[in-house]
Amino acid sequence: MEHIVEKLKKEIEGFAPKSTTEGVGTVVSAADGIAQIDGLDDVMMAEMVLFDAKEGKTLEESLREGDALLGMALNLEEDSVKVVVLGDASRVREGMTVVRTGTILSIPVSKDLVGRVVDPLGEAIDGGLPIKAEKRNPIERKAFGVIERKGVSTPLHTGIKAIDGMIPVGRGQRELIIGDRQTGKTVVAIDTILNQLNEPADKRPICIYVAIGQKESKVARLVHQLRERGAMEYTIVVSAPSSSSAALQFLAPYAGAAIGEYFMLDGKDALVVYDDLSKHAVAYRQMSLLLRRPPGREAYPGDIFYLHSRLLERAARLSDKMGGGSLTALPIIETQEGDVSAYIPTNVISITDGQIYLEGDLFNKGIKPAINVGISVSRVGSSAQTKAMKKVAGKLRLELAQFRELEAFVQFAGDLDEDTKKRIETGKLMVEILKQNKHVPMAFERQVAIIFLATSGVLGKANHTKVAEFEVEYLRYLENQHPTVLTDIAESRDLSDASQTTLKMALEEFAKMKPEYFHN
Amino acid sequence: MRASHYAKALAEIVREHPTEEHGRMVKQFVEIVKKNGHTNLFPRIVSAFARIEKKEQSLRTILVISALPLSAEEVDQALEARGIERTKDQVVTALIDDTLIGGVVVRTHATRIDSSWKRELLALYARMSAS
Repeated sequence: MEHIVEKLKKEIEGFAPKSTTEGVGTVVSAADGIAQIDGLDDVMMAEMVLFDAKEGKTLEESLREGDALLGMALNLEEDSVKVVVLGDASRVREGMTVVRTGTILSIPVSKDLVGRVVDPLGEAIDGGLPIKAEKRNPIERKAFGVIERKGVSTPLHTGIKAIDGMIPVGRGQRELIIGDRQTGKTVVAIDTILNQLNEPADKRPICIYVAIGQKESKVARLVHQLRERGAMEYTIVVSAPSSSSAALQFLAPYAGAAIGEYFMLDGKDALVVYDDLSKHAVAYRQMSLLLRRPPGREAYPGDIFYLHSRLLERAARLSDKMGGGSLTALPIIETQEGDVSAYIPTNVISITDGQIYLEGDLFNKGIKPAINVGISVSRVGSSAQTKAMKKVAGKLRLELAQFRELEAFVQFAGDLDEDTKKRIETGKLMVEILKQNKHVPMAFERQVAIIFLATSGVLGKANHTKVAEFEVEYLRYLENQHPTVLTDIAESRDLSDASQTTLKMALEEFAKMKPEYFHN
Repeated sequence: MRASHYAKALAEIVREHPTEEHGRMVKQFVEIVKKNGHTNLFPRIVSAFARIEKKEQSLRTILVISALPLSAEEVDQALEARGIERTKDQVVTALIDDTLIGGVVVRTHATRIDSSWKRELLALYARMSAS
């Protein structure tokens, strides 16, 4: 109490009105979240401006006034400035004073963000305490250059066998997740976040999930799932739901990147999921049209490519001199009727280092995750794959491709030669092995053990209809009876000859114990 | 040709010619617009012209806002203390805003020099509630 009084006394004694000189402007018109401002001389592009809602109000009313209403200067025209309102645009009045802040739009960042749900301006929206900022990071910044980067060489395990085996993602990579609605795009991203629980705590990346134009109920459900599984311990959710303004939806991925960069520059690994960039492009189109920028193809503005390229270029693996941190980006794009050649999908495909293509037909056939391995690629991830995974999954893609070619002949199986029949059987087994339930990511060493059995041919007699149960039971058996083999793979990141022998031996023992999983 | 171009040309003509010539200039302007076949632009020209005039007026105006009425001398002192030199065509307007509690706010087209008590008290409140 005394401490407070003393502090108060000091403040009052030292109180002397001082002048502050501010650059100001006046709102000429405001509509649809865009305000036209007269004045604001020398304002910078993307500068934060403050709508002075306290002007003309009494001290009491001013104190009752809500949060500061911010805007971002986007169109610097000959005789006016157009500003997008970042918040409740209904608070903007004609004749209102707008004050320059002199700083480019930035968000507060700190380690306290971990485990929190924030809006694109960094304000907590999870009902928790306000987040203490360590510093402010600019929303827009130039991506790191060639000298400051190094090659992608460390894997980022997604916990999904089909991805870690055939389309590996490295830390610092940009891998696009693309597919129609309801094909499991978000599930792939969320499973990747959940799988980081399988990583040692010191190597676990900070995950940032950016929800752009999503339903609030979906975001709430997702946060609940992450919290329930303990994944919020290393996750930050940036949410700009569909009810928020187009300006906030436009800013959300940049805010996610700014948060990710904070951790990357601290020498840590970060993973950022942009869910999804199709909605982001739509929000930017809305904003651009309201700003009266000339529309181009599909009414998107001319700089729609730059919008996504400058965002995704911020994903990087930094050199040791820069601290060795990384920022991996998993952008999501929703296609219409599987059309990957549309404007936004082709843009993002060309920017990223590969894509995971999810197909509606596969999903409807019950193949989940519905990854079409034929057109899914990872351009840099293979150099980040572990030795163990390379050894076991090398043949996987080829065998699956051969199976897809032969699949059409399955119905005439009776007329096929023995070799073809065998290939079809192996292919079917592979497909079953790669199936995985949602939110059950698998640790890397377990994936290696299972894929090894499939590709080495020792699972030839496995009952295809019971592969999922077999997988669970076999891994449990392995853990109980041969516990060292999994830890050996996890620690050495390699699959030694001894481990291979143990895995085969364990399978023989298991087959004797549980013959129901095998054909005679 | 956009309405804003016509409005800008008209505003410049009005500024460059004496008041007695304004009527003739406006008549000639109307004829030119008709000749160019842009009569449909008239409503937009008028609003663009009004905007330009409003801006011109705001550029010429210096507002001295205080909580209590100020004498002409006090207004001059307030401007001098804040280093504001007024040009011949600038008009100083004194306004009363009792929400300022005390002190003075000087406002030009794109600058605000705020030395009001209200701003100081709000800053004090923000500092105290942050610590």
